[in-house]
Amino acid sequence: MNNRKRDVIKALKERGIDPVRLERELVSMLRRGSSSIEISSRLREIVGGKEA
Amino acid sequence: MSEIGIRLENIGVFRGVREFKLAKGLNLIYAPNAAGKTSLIAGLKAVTISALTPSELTRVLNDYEERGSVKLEIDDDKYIVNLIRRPDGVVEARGRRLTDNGVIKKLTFIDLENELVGAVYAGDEERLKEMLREISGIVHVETILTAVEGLKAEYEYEYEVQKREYESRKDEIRKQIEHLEKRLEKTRTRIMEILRDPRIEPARREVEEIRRQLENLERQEHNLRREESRINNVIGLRRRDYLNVKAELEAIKDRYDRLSEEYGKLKSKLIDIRRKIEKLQKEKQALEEKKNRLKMEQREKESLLGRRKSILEYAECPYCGSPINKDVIMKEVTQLRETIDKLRSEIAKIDKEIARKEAEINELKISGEERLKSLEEELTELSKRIAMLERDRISIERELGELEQKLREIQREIDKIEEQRQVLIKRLEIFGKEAPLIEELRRLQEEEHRLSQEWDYLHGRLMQLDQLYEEVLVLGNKVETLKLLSEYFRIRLNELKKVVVNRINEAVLKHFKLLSLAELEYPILTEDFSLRLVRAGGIPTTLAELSDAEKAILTILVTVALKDFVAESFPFYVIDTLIEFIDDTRAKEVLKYLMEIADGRTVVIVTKTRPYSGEPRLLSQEDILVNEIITT
Repeated sequence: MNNRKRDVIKALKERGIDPVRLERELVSMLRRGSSSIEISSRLREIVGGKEA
Repeated sequence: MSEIGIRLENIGVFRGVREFKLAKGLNLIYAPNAAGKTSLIAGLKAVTISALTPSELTRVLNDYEERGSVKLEIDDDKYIVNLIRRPDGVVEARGRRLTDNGVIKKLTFIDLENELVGAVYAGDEERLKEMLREISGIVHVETILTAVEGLKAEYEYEYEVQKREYESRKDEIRKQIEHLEKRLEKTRTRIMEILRDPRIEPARREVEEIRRQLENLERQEHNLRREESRINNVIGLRRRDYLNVKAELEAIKDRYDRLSEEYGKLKSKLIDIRRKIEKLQKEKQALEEKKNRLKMEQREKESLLGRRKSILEYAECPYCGSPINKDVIMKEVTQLRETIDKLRSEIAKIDKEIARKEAEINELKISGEERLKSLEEELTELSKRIAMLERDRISIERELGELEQKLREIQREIDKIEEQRQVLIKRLEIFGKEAPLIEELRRLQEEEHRLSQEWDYLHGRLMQLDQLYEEVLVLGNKVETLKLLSEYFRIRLNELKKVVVNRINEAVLKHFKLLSLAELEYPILTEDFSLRLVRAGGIPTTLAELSDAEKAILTILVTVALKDFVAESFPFYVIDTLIEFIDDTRAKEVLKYLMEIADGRTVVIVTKTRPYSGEPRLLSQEDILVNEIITT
């Protein structure tokens, strides 16, 4: 893992977001047929402070 | 070696029950066409993957049967899927499957129905590129990145607008404060000049005392007004919270009332629903018993028919030795056929009736017990939320009450100060009648007071703005988070592209050489997933120009490489029919490679119409050669 990626993950975790988990969640939503609007709305919730 | 059991009932070409044993490692299945290889694979597909299309499911169930099932036993786990043909002909599947991920199907069931195989054999490079991007998840990460970027742009715009508005309002207030401060300074300088003027000498001591007291009162009032502003701001914010809590509470209570009403009605109907289910189950049981009787009768008639047909070739009965009357036997055969047909049609009607009853039972269960349970759960959740919101509402109400009380106290204190100030101003008025300079002093005192009040008011507005600025900061924080997310997904996208493309390139290059196939130059896949097919020596070629064997091997190598990446833990990898496109010598090499990648962990299944030597047979357990390649 490159240093920048490690720093970005750390900074996101400090903000309460686990990007690896989030990526898995969103990819799995898309694989199950969710639209990009649903992805935006989930991202909005996460950035607004709901659990990621 | 752990054994994997698969039990098929009315699947594909198989009518009735068939059971097969597979094992981790390579399983080579050979049998002629229409012997059931693809049926076994279809059954396996149905029990492992829930994302099958309706037409795929229709092909799984035997054409003459209304119901079927597949049971899979693997690693101490059991998976059962029941297939039911609905009256409209659509086949429904119910039960527990290994995965609901449709991508896994494309990577692990390499047959002629597979879209990726279709794209390779059609020589459609663009379609293959899109499929590889989709299967590897690249296209999904790109979608996420676009969504993150869109959201970032939206928040950035909102942040900039709010920040600009805040700054311009703040600037305006600051200018007003500056202007006021200049006027205040001027007024105070004039007051000091008057106080130093020798013309007020007779009343100097008195006037100075009044001025000192006025200054003191001004200071007290100023502190109180600042506190008043602060409390007013807090009250404003808490009132907003209060309205939000109240609105949510009303919406939740409304939902709670509606669900409670539905719950009450459903509960009163539940006994009736249970009775109906019981009645339907009894009717279904009676139908099943009748169906079993008819099936038994059908089997008896079929066996009788077989016996009758078998003696038609004889001159005399092989059972009793009496001469054969072919006309009588033929008549009996015809009658038996008619009876069997009638029985079949009656059984089919009963099957439909059973399916209808089952659907009705399910419908009642869903609308009865299951709905009641879900209502109970939701009502419990809602009452918890209501209790929490009520607590919040009461606490905000109490807090607001306390703050308003404090505000009233401050107001009373300000009123008292104002009374004291008026008394002092009156005293100045008395002096003012005798000396015009003192009258001017009185007017300036009034002016100073008014300006000071205005100053406090503007500072109050500034405080209010600062609280609003917290919202701008929250927005700024969101923008920062989205910037980080955008960077993360950008890194991931590049990383994924590199890893997937490298993995595919290495797998293809290594094994094409091993399999002694025409060599292709490295890499065959570029970072945007486009194919770059160049034969050794620099002669460009296309997917369409590859031989069928090369296409089969390319498909196998690409899917194995991707399976490792996307669905490593999925325990099956199946190649149905495709191996037929490869000559025996190379096919054996491919099988050796598959045996190697199975590594005793994955169940790799390959179907062939015949063994490498010898005759094909009907599909039975003996036709499945576990962990074998060469048969003699």
